[in-house]
Amino acid sequence: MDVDSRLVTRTLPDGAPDADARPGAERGERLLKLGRRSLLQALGAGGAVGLAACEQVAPGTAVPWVQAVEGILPGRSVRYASTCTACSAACGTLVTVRDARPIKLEGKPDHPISGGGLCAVAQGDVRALYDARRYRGPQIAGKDASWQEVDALVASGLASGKGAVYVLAPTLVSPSERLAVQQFLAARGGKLVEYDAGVDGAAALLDAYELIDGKAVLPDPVLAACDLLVVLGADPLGTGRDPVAFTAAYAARRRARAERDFRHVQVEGSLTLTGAASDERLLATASERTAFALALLRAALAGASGPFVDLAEQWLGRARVAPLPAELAAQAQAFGAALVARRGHALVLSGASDVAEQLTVALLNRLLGAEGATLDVAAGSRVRRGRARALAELVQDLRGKKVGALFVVGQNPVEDLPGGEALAELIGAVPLSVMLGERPTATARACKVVAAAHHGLERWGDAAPRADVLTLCQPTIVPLFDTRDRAGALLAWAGKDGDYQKFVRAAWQARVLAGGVAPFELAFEQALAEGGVDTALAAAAIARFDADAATGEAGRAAQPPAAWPMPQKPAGGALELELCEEVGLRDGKPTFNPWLRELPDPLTRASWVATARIAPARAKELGIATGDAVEVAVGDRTVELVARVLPGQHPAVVGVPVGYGLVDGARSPRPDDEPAATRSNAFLLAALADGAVQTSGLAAELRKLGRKALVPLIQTELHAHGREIIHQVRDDHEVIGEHEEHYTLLRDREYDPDWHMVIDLDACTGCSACVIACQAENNVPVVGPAEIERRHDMFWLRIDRYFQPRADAHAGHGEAARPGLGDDANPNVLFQPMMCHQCGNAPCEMVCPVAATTHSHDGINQQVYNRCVGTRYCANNCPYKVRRFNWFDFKPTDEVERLVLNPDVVVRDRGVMEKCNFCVQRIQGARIETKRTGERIVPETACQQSCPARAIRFGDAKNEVDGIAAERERGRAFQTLGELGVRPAVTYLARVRRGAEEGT
Amino acid sequence: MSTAALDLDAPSTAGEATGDPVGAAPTASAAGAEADLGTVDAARTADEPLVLGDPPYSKITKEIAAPLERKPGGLWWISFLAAVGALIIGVVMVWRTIGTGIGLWGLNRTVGWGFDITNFVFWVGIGHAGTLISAILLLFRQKWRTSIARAAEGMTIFAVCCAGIFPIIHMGRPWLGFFMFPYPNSRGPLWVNFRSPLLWDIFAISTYLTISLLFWYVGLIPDFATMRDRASGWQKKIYEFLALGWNGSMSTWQRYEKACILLAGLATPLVLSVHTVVSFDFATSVIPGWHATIFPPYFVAGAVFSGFAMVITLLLISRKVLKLERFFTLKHFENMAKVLLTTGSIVGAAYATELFVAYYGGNPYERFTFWNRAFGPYAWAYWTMVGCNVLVPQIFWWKRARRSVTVLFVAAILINVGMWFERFNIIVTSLHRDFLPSSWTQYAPTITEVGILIGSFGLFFTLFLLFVRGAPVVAFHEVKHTLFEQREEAHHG
Repeated sequence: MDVDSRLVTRTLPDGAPDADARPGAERGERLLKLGRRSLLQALGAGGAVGLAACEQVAPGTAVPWVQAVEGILPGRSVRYASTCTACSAACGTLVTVRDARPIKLEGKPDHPISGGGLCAVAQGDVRALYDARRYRGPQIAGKDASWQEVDALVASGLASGKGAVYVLAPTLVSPSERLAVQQFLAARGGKLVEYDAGVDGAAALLDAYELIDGKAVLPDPVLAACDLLVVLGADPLGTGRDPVAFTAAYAARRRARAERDFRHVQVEGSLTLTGAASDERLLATASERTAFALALLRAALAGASGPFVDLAEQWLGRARVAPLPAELAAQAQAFGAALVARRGHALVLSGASDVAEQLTVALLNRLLGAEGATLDVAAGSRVRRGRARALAELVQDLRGKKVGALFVVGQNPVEDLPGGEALAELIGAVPLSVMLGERPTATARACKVVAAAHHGLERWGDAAPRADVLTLCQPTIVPLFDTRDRAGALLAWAGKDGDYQKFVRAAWQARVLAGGVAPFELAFEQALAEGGVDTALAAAAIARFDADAATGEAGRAAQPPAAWPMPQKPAGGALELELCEEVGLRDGKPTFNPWLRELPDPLTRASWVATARIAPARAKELGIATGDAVEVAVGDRTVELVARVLPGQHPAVVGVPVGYGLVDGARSPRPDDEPAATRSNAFLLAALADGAVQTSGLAAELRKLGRKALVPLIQTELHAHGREIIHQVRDDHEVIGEHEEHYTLLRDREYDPDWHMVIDLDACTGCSACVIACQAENNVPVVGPAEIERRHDMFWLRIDRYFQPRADAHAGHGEAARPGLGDDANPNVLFQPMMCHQCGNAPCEMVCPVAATTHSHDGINQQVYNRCVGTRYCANNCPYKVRRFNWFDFKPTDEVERLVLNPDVVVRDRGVMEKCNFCVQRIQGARIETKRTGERIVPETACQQSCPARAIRFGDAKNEVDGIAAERERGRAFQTLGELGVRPAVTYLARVRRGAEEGT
Repeated sequence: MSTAALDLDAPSTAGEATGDPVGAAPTASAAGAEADLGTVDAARTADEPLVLGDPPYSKITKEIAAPLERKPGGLWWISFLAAVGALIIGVVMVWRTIGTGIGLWGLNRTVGWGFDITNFVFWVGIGHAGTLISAILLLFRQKWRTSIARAAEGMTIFAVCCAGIFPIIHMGRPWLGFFMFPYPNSRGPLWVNFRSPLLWDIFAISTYLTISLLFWYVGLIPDFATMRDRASGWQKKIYEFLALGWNGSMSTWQRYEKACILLAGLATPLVLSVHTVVSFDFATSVIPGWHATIFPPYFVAGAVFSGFAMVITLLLISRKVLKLERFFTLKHFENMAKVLLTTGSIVGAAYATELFVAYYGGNPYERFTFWNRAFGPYAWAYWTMVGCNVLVPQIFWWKRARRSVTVLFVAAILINVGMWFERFNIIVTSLHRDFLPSSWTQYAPTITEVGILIGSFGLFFTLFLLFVRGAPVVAFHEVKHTLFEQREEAHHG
């Protein structure tokens, strides 16, 4: 048998290397010389689970299986429980693995926090694994090196003993990783600095709780008990620290609204997804918001008792802020009274990066009796630990040249800290600077050594996002490149065994599964299969991990803090800057991911470029229109952005997203696209003041640059123009009239099963996780900014966004609107996920000359790719405009990037039309499984599966069990454009928005 | 058809004006061949001659055959090179499109059709004039059609050729275009979708092209025979081949006449059906602005309108350049102008009807579509259309306008511009803002599309210029028959 000498070789399962092995296969060549077939063989020959332990792949000879690995069948997907590592929220996942490589991430349905959903970034994480720009191996001073050289260099650097040793990491939510880092620090005498680059104000929140409790706690909202939620300048639904969990809880609370009312008030300056979901929204600048919080605190003192009343009064006495404008003051009074009336069922959240405001809110919650009811302070959340103080210490030491060795674990401070460019030089001056990361970032380039690290899907590990939740993370692919586990590397450099899998197992044996009845191996396999352990076991285990790793801060009784924080001074001047995160790019870590770059922001509907969000009134004043190139300046720092006029912005606030303009940003797949503006990294505009990173309330200037910029917008229109395509009601019981079925000559077709979808617009927050899930599942191509700008986007599922004058909101459905409440100043925001409605009387099916689009026996409108000749009449005739045409050859060509393609879905050719088909491959899969096992398996579409809010429901209208038929009959159900007689299979449930009432 | 007694093909000397024993139409001064056409008394339009100057039949032959027999002049060469140049531009742009993708055009996910189908409908519409003149006017025994029929029918063929390119190149995968034909296969067999208007288009256009080609060719046979008898060398061989052994005998003529009537009968319904089917491309859609029952008559009237305008343009040029003023008289143009006036008014009435129905029907989407046409981003295209199609032809209420070459020429070009914009309006303004505002976009053509449009004109004029050199622009026998009847009338009336 001829063995292809280009094949990557592996050790045979029994560990004995083959005698014909080629010594030292060159890294880099390894993957690049492979053809698709041999690559798959090689990956398959490696075996997924069994050989995942191998960090280094020694040369050997690949042979086809005589006895296949159990559970792995070519062409059948297997799912493994794991944990998402894209951010520290650590949602539980099920990884779909096909032919020994992961192709899709899905939420784990029984995960106690995330409840089965996943956010857009998590859905895009599988694409991050197959990034062609990842490090293929370690580097020293920018040149490829071997691990031996790296180990030697690190050893000598550490041995010299000069200067402090620092490990700079994001919040380590993995207890094992924290333990490993602590062991490294103990061995080498160093400090761990955790910081998080996001703008969600967690650092300030931790500081605030330390001030009043002596212990930094990150309280966890408990929405199930909450009747009135007031959110000040935070976006927990979209870009908070745990959006999936919050959205799941929020959606559940809204669903229960019929039994017990729930009202959500938002006070913010920049429009966010949470603001869009709120019932009542007030516009306020950052300082006005702080004053608002203080006013609420004053109101909450009424009838309050307990040890913190004194503290609150003291604080109120000291906190000096500018007085509130009359309207806001009146609202603050009203909402303060409302909060007090709902003591024990009220909750106030703040996203401020200002400790003063967080302190106010902490005290407020305490006075409202939220703690223990709607706010869990006891256990709290563990997903954010970054403190500005520790970071400031590190920066000081760097400046003072006191740092001997710096280990950066997957962070990018050069680009996400204000004043970060100076850091690059400082880091370069450190004798030993090591980057443990996956891809080239500005920080990686500043470091001397790059220790190429595994992607999360290639790693072992665990995660403890809450004190009673402990999950496992297992690799689902043999490492693609010559990389190491980052914690394992640190252990190795600490002189210990660098096998991280062993370390995790040992840690679990000692702390998690110690007291069990079953032998450890069995218990561990069980935990792996389930993805973690139950809450009781988890709580005990995490406590043990904490005892071993953390420096445990003791709490203390309530007493005034040594130093009261000063509230941020108002920005002064005409314009304030508020930095925000976008759902796709978050804090900039996923900026390299083209899926997430192309994901249009749900509010601005722009993709690929950073947009400055400006209120319509202010834009008119300044003569700025959407698409103008503008400059936003804070002091002498400027960034270049594209203006986007956005209703709902406070006129004095310009919103700027972070995550753009980074060195590692995704490039357009089209070769002739212009490179994006690089000077758009908005982190430059934040201010480092009083040991905290200030991200809002910064005095800013907005200047036109006198030219137009490319603004790739998926949607240009802001409004629905009075068309009855989307509805909003005031409560669950309102009934939207049905459009009568016209008399028709058409036969009624019987579909069995009859697939229908119901989308609850009251649950949808616009987070766009479904969009990326669809892209991952259906091989939807990325086209790049220039093509998006020409409206050649390829999304099968899009989320339309309409602004609706707030006057209409109070009118409810069918009543006349109250005039005079303004239009675009503070409108309601409505999201509408739009995909192919699989019309029973489809306009597209009628007009295709070659019958490339037909209707199946189960109600799906089929698109036959190999028959389509591309006349585009179907797209013209579609009233929903959900069809997408392959204008050019959009197929991915890079060998590594192609690995993410789902083999169950055709990759479409140039000139072919494509569209959503309700994940027909999943429907077929479920049908086959049902036949095979005899048990009815209900398919889930990718979008439905990923939605953290469970807003999308899918099922067989003929089968009562699925509940779809009942959903379609609900009062607030409606069909968009149903009156055209197309018989869509998608029904929407109208958004419920409570209006303002007297004495709210 | 023609009197056998006269030796029609005998070469005659120039200036022989009065040697005919038949008829004595008013003659003009004897100052050269051109002045030989005679003046026309405006008051006697009822009797206005359709062939001026009462020439001998042989002169007719000579004059018509002259462009084919003399070497092409500078003007022809310049025009031909310009046309070929334009054609080459089109070929290059089509090549790029097929090679790289429809993405080279300005189309997008909302506006799936732009210049491509606009040009398609434009060219198909133009073709209708020829068929109407050849077939319908033949059945209605309108004598004035005889001299212009040949050129008009040729124009139809070329226009349909130009039109036929667009459905092919607008496809995303034109190399699979054969999928649209119901050819026998073993995949079921897999049929095409007979409910699709695009498929009806295929049948309609191919039928139209076939019938028109047949009709045109059959009509040309006697003329090729005439040319065969006059030509020599390689040209004679070609004409011999094309003449299919025409011998000019009475029985041949009789069969010929029957064939022509038959083909005319077949072609007549095509004038109405082809553009009706093309209008169904839009009328059967759900999109507001397309979803309209008025489209079939509206489109057919529009097609005749634009076709006649193109005929006028071509013939005004031909008559001057080819010295065929004797045959393309002002009377002809006046009649054509009357057709323009009629069909233009029908088109105008259709616009008004659409507006009224949009208002009266109360459908918000439809109302908006029409408001958007007049006041939205493409308002400039809408008002160009209205100005050129509704206002311009109104000038033809005045006789002086109907008979003024300048007015006719300018008006005809404006009308064609207007009709192009009508299709642009219907297609693009209806698509770009349809039901859901979230998908509203703008459309602007790219250089590739403009190049293809230029190329289509290049093809059209290349073919026409070749036609002018290869076949007689006026049908010898038909115009001689007209002259004969004219003389009979003058003699007896």
